[in-house]
Amino acid sequence: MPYANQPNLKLTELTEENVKFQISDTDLSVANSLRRVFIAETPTLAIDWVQFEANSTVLFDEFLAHRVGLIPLTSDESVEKMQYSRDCTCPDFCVDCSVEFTLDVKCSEDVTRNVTTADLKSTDPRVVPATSKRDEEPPDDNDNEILIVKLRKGQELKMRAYAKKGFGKEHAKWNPTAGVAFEYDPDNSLRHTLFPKPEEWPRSEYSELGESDQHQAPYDPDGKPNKFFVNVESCGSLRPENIVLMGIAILKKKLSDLQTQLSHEVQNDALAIN
Amino acid sequence: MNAPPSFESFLLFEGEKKIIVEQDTKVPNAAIFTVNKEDHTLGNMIRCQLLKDPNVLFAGYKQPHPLEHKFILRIQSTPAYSPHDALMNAITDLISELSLLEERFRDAVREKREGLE
Repeated sequence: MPYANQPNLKLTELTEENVKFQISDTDLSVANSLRRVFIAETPTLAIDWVQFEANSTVLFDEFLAHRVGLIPLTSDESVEKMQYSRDCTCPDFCVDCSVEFTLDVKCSEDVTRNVTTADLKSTDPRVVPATSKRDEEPPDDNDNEILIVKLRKGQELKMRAYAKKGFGKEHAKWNPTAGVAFEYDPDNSLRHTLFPKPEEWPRSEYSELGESDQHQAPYDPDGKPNKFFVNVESCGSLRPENIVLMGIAILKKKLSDLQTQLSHEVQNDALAIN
Repeated sequence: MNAPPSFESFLLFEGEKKIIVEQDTKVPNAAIFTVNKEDHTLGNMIRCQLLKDPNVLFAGYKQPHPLEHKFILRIQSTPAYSPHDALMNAITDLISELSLLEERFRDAVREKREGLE
């Protein structure tokens, strides 16, 4: 390991939705690549194929399919074991590459019937729509279920759907994060930002200036971004610590695949020349 | 209307190679690597790591056009070393750095969990 960094990590907060940590002794490029990977390349499950048997609702088919695709599905246990549908050897869909969902609601009362994620039935009990109160209290109130469509008396919605593995680069529905907060140099000692009036700007929570009158730290011309403050907020499909771990694993895999392809390429060149 | 399918940003075309190596003839010991279906996530990280190597005289990357999903990486090294070796070492260093980070994160999560219970 001639010139590798030895990064240090300090975990400040870990809840069901958030993980807050600080990475130090690494480069800005590595921290940024991690941020990009958490958002766009960490795989989750989301509905990607919908077939309608009956739809007499006020929303048209594609509208409902779009909404249902955006519902976050708990992917923690299953997504790593599943294959991408395009790589799977089965002809259409199978248990290894998809999870089947059904929705069958007909409104027969005079009252408006709300079709929510509670009505979306999964064939795999580990992959269900993510709502706030999953393992904690039992569902006393259905306030946290996501509303899909409202039905009037006589309207019906019946559909089949398959959830597939994918990641944010292909479509935002596969993005496991609600947001990734990323900060470095909270007191602007590197002057990467130039404030016309530094006193107007609120102080960062990571600032070391405390109560002093200074609004920015003194200029450090030889400084390099060293400490990065990250807060990964999950949307419910993956636990936040899983987002980070799977993200790092995906980044390592991309690098090692590139290394393998590079060595093949050079071997082929060597064979061609000789 | 003309939007290409979004999976084109990461799936290689038929017969397309992931990485193509060309020798740069203008200066000695230089090569241009074209990496297909990758973006700044890899490009910036690899470039930064290459610049840390004292045997690397030049390292730079660019994405020729944002609608074409590839980047080119130009590396010039000292005569005793080759650009290909520099790239292999840079990638190895990055993988080891990420492995260390992963291990430290797992330990930190475990400690946090034990602390909470």
